[in-house]
Amino acid sequence: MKLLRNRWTGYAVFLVALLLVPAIFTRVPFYTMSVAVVMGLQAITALGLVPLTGRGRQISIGQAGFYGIGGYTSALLSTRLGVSPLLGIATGAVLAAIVAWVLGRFLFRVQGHYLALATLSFGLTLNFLFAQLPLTGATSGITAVPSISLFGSDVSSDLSVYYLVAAMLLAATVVVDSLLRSPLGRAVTAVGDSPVAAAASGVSISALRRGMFALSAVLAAISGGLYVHWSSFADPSMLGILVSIQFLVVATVGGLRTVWGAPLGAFVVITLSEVAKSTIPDLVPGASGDYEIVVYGVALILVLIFLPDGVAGLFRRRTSIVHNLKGD
Amino acid sequence: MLRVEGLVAGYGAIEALHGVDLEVAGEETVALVGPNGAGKSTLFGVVSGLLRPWRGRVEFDGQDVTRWSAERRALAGLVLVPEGRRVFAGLSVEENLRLGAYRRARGRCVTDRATEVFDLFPRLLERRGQRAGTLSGGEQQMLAIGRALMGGPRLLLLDEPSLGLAPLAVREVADALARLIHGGVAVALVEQNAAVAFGLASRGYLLDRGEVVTSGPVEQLRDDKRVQAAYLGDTRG
Amino acid sequence: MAELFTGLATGTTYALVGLGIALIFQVTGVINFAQGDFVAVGGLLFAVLREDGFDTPVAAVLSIVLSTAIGILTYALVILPARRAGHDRLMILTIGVSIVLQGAALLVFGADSHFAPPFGPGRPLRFAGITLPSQYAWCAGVTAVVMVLLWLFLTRTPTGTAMRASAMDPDAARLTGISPERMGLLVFALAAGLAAIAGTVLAPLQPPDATIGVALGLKGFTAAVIGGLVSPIGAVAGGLVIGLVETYATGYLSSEYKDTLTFGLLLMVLLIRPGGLVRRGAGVDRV
Repeated sequence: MKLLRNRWTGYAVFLVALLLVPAIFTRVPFYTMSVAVVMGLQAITALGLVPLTGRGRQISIGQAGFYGIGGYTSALLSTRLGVSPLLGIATGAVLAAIVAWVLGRFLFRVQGHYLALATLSFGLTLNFLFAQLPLTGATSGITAVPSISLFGSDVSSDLSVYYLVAAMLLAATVVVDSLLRSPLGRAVTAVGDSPVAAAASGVSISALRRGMFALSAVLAAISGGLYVHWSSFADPSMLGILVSIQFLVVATVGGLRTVWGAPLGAFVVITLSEVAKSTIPDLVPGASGDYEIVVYGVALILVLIFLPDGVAGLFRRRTSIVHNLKGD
Repeated sequence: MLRVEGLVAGYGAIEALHGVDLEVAGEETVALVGPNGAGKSTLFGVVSGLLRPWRGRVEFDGQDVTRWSAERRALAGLVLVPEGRRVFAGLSVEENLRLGAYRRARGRCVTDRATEVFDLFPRLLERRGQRAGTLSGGEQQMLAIGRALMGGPRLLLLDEPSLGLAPLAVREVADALARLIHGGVAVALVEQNAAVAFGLASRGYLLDRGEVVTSGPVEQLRDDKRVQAAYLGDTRG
Repeated sequence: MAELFTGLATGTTYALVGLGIALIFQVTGVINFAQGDFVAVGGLLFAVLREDGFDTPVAAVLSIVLSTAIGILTYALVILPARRAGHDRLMILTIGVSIVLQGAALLVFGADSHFAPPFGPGRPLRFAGITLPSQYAWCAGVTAVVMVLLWLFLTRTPTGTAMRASAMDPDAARLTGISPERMGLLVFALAAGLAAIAGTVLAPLQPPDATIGVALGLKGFTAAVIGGLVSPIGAVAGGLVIGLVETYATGYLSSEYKDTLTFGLLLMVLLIRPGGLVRRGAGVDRV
C-alpha cells in the first residue's frame, strides 16, 4: 500500500478502478453489473465499520438494522407520500443517525462480547418488528418502490445504478478517510487502542463512540436506501441476522483498519460466493446449490485464520514483516 | 539442573533481555537480584515457558526445553511460583493443592504430598476447605508454594515470594523455604528483600537492564557496591 | 398452568444450548455462534438414524458421539490455529463454522424436516387437570440428569477442577501442568455433546431441519446472557425464563411476537443491567 500512502494517489487509483469495473465485469465470467452494485452497496456499509470497529474497537452485528431503517424510510416516503427518492434516502440517513445516537447512549456501556450480542439483538428486534408492523407491510414488505431519477433521467438499469453507487462509495471513502486522518479520527483510534489513557486526557469516549456509531448508521442507511430504489422493494429479509453478519464479514475479510478494506472485502467475499455458486455444479455433477455455502464458509475461515489483517493487510505485509518476526 | 544460554526476549517490540546466561546446579539455591525493570521476571517467564524467547536456549536436566510449553515443563518438574501468587481464587485450598499434583500423582501419593505440605504450612490445613480468594496474602503465598510442591518439583522458581506480605508472614514463608532448601529442592528466586534473598541463597546473579552484571557466592555479592545500589534503589522505589 | 409446564419444558432445550455457550465462553473466551448448529446437527442425526430404523438409545448415542467429534474438529481446525486472535475475529470464525455446518447439514440431510417418534410410549401426561405430551417429561428429566452429571464432573473430578482452574487463570493453570488448549478441546467436545442431547430430546417435539440452528443459537445466547454468561446455573435459569416468556407470549399475544419479545428481552438485559454483567464479564474477557 505504499502507493496509497499518499491519499490523493489512493483516491485516484480507486476512482480508476471503479471506472474500469463496468468494462471488466461485462466481459468476465460470474461478474455482472448487478454483482457490482451489490459489491458497492456492501462496501458502503462495511466502510462504516472501519472507524467504529476497526479503529474504535466497537463491534456491531446490528448494521442491518440501519440498512433496514434507511431502506424502509425511503421506500415508505416515496410510495406513500411521493417524496423524491434522494430526499427519502437523506431522511432515512438522518433517522438512522438519530436512532444510533440515542441507542449509543445505552449501548456502549457494555463492551466486548456483550456489545456484540447487544448490537445483534438490536438488529434482530428490529427485524422481527418490521416483519409484524402493518406500517412496514409485515412479512410482504413494501413493493413498487420507484427508482431514483437524477437530472431528469431514470437511474434504473444496473449500469446506471452502479455509477451512482460507485460515486457514493468514492465520496464516502474520501469522507471516512479524511475523518480518520483528522484529529477527531486520531482520537477515535486512541480511544480504541487505550480507552483508559484517552479518558485521562479528557476525551469524551462516549460521544466519540456514539458519533462513530451514527456515522456507520448513516452509511448503512444510504446503502439500504440505494438498494430499495434499485430492487424496487423493501422486505424484512433486509434486516436479517445474516445481512448484519455479511457486512461484518466483508469488513473483516477486507481489513478493518483501513478504508480500502471495505471495497476489497466486498470484492473478495462476493467473488467467493459467486465463484462457488457458478463453478461447483460444474465440478461436482449432481451437487445441489448447497455446496456453495460450505465453500463460502470454509473460505471465510481460511481468510480469517491466515490473513489476520484482512486482504488489505496483504499490501502492508512487506513493511511490517520484520516487526512481526520480532514480535513473535 | 538448569542452564540458560544467550537468552534474548521481550514484549512486543521492546527487548527486555539482551543475552542472559545463567546456571543453577542441583540442590543449589540461587538468588536473582537487581533493580526494578532489570528483566528478572521476564527471565523467569521465559524459563518457565510462559514467554517465548526471541533467541537463546533453555536447558533443563540436560534436555533442550526451549520449545517446550509451560505445562510440559511443569510436568517435567520445572515449576514457577509466579509473582502475585496467582492461586485459583474460586477454588478451595484443597482443590488448589490437588491441581498441583494434576497428571503427576494420584491416590496415596497425593495424600502423602499433601501431608508434607500441611506439615510445612500448618495454616493451610486449618483452611483446607476455604476458598483460596479469601486467604490472606501470606496464606496465598504458602498455598502457591504448596501447590508447586504437590507436583514434586525438581527446580522451584520463586518470583518475589515476600512481596506485599506482612513482616510476620515474610518470616513464616522464609522459614518454610529454608526448610525446603534444607530438604534438597533446587531453588532459584527473585527477591526484593535482601535479608531473605541472601539468607536463603548460596549463590547469586545481579541483573541490570536485561544483562547479567556480575555473579558469584552470596558472601561476595553482599558486599558488592552495585548490589547494594540495586537494593537501595528498590527500597526507594 | 399448562403454559407453565410447556414453557419450562421447552426452556430446558434453551438451557442446554445456553449452558454450552457459557461453558465454552468461560474456558476459552470464545463466543460460539455455532452452538445452535451443533444442536441442529445432533437433532438431525438422531432423527435420520431413527428413520433408518435404529432404536432410540442407539440413535441417541450415535448422534451424541458424532456431534462430539464435530465439536472437537471445530476446536482443532478453527479455534486452535487462531487462538491468539482478538475475540471479535474468533467470534466471526465461529460464524464461519456455523455457515459451514449449516451448508453441510443441507447437503447431507437435505432441506426437509426429519421426524423422530417420542422416546417413551405415546401416552400423554395428565395431572392437575392438564395434559402434556410425554416427551416434555423426557426433556425435563434428561436436562436434570445432565445438569447433575455436569456439576459432578466440574466439582468432583480432577479434570473438571482443572477445567475450572483453566477458566479462572490460564497462565497459572499452565504452571500446574494443565494445558488450556486441551481444556478448550474438551469443553468444545462437551458443549457439542450437550447440544446433541438437546437436539435429540427436542427432535420428537420440533422436527429438526438444517436451518433451525441460527434461531436456537440466538436463544441460547439470550439464556447465557440472562444468566451472566459466565455462570452455568445462570444459563439454565435463563433458558427456563425464555421458555416461559415464549409460551406466555404465544398464549396471550400471538405466536408472531414471541421472537420479538425474546430478543427484546436480550437487549433489555444487556442495556439495563450492564453493570453487573460487565463487571463479571471483564474478568474472563481476553482482549
